[in-house]
Amino acid sequence: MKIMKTIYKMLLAGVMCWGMTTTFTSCDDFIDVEPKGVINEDLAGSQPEEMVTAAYAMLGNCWYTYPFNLWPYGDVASDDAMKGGSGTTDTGYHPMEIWSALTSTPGELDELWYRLYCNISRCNRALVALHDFGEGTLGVELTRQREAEVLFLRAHSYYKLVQMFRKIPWIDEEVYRTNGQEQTRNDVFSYEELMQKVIADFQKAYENLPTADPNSTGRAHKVAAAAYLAKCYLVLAWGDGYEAKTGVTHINQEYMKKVVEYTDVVKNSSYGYLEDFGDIFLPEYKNSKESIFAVQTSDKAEDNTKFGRANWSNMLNGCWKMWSCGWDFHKPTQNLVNAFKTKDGLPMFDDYDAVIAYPQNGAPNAQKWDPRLFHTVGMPTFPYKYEVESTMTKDNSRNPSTYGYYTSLKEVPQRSKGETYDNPWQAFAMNDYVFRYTDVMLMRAEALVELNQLNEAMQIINDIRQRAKNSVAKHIGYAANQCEIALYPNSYFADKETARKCLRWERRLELAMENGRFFDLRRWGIASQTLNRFFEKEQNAVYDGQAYAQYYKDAHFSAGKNEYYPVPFNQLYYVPGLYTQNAGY
Amino acid sequence: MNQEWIDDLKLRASWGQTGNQAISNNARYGLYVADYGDDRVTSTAYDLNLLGSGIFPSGFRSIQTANNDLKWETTEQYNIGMDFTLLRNSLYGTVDLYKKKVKDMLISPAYLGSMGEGGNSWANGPSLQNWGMEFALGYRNKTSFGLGYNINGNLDFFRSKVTYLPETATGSYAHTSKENLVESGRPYGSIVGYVVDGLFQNREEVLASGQENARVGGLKYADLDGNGVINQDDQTWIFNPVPNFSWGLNVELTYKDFDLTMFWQGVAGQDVYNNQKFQTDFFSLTDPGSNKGNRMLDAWTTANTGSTIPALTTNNTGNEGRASSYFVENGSYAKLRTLQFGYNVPDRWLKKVKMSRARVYVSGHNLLTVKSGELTCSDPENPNWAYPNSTSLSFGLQLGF
Repeated sequence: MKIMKTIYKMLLAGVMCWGMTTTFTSCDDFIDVEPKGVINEDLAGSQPEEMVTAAYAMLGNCWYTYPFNLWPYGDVASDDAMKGGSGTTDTGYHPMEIWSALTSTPGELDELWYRLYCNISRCNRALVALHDFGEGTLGVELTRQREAEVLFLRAHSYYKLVQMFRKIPWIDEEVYRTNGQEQTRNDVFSYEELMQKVIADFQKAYENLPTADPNSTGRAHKVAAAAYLAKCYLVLAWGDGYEAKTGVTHINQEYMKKVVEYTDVVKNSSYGYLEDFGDIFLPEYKNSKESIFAVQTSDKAEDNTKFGRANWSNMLNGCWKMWSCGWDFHKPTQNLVNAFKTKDGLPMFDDYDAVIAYPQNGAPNAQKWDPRLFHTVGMPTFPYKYEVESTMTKDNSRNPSTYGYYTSLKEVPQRSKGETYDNPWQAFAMNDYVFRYTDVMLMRAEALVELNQLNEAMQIINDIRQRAKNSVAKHIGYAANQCEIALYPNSYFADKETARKCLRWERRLELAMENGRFFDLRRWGIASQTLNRFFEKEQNAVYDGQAYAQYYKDAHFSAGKNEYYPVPFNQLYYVPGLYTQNAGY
Repeated sequence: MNQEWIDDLKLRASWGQTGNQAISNNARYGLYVADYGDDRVTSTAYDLNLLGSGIFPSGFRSIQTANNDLKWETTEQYNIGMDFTLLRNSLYGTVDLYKKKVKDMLISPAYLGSMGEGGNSWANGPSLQNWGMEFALGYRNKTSFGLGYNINGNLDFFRSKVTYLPETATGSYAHTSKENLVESGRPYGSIVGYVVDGLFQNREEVLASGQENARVGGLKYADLDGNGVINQDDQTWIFNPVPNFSWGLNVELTYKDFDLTMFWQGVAGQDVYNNQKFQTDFFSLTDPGSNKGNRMLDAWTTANTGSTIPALTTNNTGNEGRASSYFVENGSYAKLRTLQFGYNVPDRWLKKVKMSRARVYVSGHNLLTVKSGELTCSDPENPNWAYPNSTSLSFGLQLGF
């Protein structure tokens, strides 16, 4: 019995020893279980290539309530376009149309803010993944290039945020790592400092990105970064942004020189003017030499996604009763149509909107037009996007007594290619240009005018006009007898003021309905005078006896306040005291 | 304790503590998902190589931020009560007092916009405290001429407040610009909004108000801090989801072969946020252009300045859909939930058909609602657009063999 007792004692001691050693060494290990069937932070973070791809994908993840191409904020808010739709209360963009009713509460502003930060969060995560795992998985060279690409994408979103809201929190990968977003204020950096940070990111991108030929890749490349740098410097060159400190008397010559320097890179690249203006806006010609950087789209029939990687920013902008889900938004104004009038081939600067006029197909008269009108604005009696079998009529407008009869052509494909509807939305697979070659050349000309290099500016503008002149026979032959466009003679570029007027007009005609007009007016410091004059005239618009646009009688643009959009109310209120609001709101 | 008038008396007390971890097993991890194209706006796929068709490269997007400090939620409850039956089983009742504390509640709060994607996470956060009392009292007897009756009523109330919120989450719960939910001592579910001080009667009032986009005939928000400007500092607590008390009353009468039961139920001091007013009082807050309720026939006009309903407009420039006391009404009510009248067929007739029991009855539900004069919707239990409570009448036959 004593032996049994001893054996038991020894067994017990042995078990206890083993138990204790196990406790002190591997307790943690064997109860630590990785989650199954999900992708956790370690797995995702260690695949930097996939994280970078996701950052690119966010470029196209927009919706009509937060369009990344900013059509309500760049066009509807200007003298180029009206909102459209079933009436003034369709979507929440009416306050942007008339400015006088704009407050910080529209949900659309809040959503845009949040989604742009979603963009930025994907970029920050990619930067962290590249920093931690890039050299191991991709190698030093490729890691540096991917970092440059991600900085480009992040600065692209920050550029939009700063130009929209002016006062924004700067969230970079350091803030992300320390989870400090809820302590980051939106007034730490001034407007100029924020733009310099954006420029610094684009600068790093420019230095480390390779050049790329047209139609070779969807990734960011050196020429795209150069175009963005030129744009940033151009915006800063005109002044502070608020009208009191922006305009001809506030120009920074150093920045203008930088614009010329960076557009030089674009000029000497393999990108160039596409021969026909109409081709630029046909899906068959996407990623042509005109396309420096664009958001790629595709149709659900081809790309194996459920709804297609379509241009969701423009999902409401199809023409009424031409597309089964065209909801008739983003409609050109009479003021824009008037701007295309020509006299002896040149724009009618002083009296373009003295008389309301519009061409009718097959009925030419004394008034001639810039050919680009027929590529930009769809009008009744004319073929819709060049196809006679889809000729527009007055039926193709949803609410003519409010919004008239014009429609925008640049963002839609041709009708004969078939519906792309994803009931009740239209899913156009049309790329959204971030920069096209002509846009960059116009920026160059703008800087050249201010630097008094008027001859080269004239050369650029005349090249663009020549291309417009050559863009009649291919697509708009039916309107040939109504088109007349001539190159500017030297006399128009003898002094700065006239040259500037020519440049601004050319920019309006060339880039009409491409969502940048309001930002151009603000940059030049002429938003309030241009828009308030526009509101007075446009409320009397008439087409064939039908009056429309009377709601503009309530419109008013207040300088010193409306240059920037208000910081969204929900963001201001979520952590009281963290953010401050823009002046006047 | 041996009194003739006490039949049964019981005192009881209890204490308990339980835990809750009923959330996803993956709650504490940082999670990602590969989203090729399931939805339109969350995709991680992009045509990097300009293929135009086929399968594009795709990556991951974040759906949750990690929280390695996540732990159980703990609930602790104290209860003390008394049951009694007195006076030869005719008077009976119970009284209860309880207090319940919950701490480290598991929440997945909203997050600041600048966090971007994947900002949601699970956290231990709020602490909540409820306390309340319940009373029940009944009396049953039979009168000398054979009417039996049993009347019992109950009443209960509770008070609730949030005792702790983590600093980072105070923004996603109701708060004014001066105090958050904890500091205010208000229950969870309270609403913050503007106080409506009538309608603007003329242009002078509009210009003097300091309210953005005010209009003649529109809602006038009170300037609570008196600084001449209407903004978030003029918001206060306008809605309390907890009623003062609720009650029920049950009456059962029997006389010979007839029986009658009646059940009343009600709530006193209840706030209701009347969402139906969006469609009955405003033309353009939601669905402009659709049919509206006929209350707006009495809307404010210069010929009808006594009206409390804002002037009609096709364009909601005044932004009058914001949370405000205009939509908060008194939702107290008393409802006759059930009324049943039955007749038991006497035995002498049942014997002939060999049945042991037969009862015929007629019964009605939700027959009557007594509500506050202030309430503008038809049913205080339904200020939204849920399917309304129906009144029903049924007849029945109960047979036993």
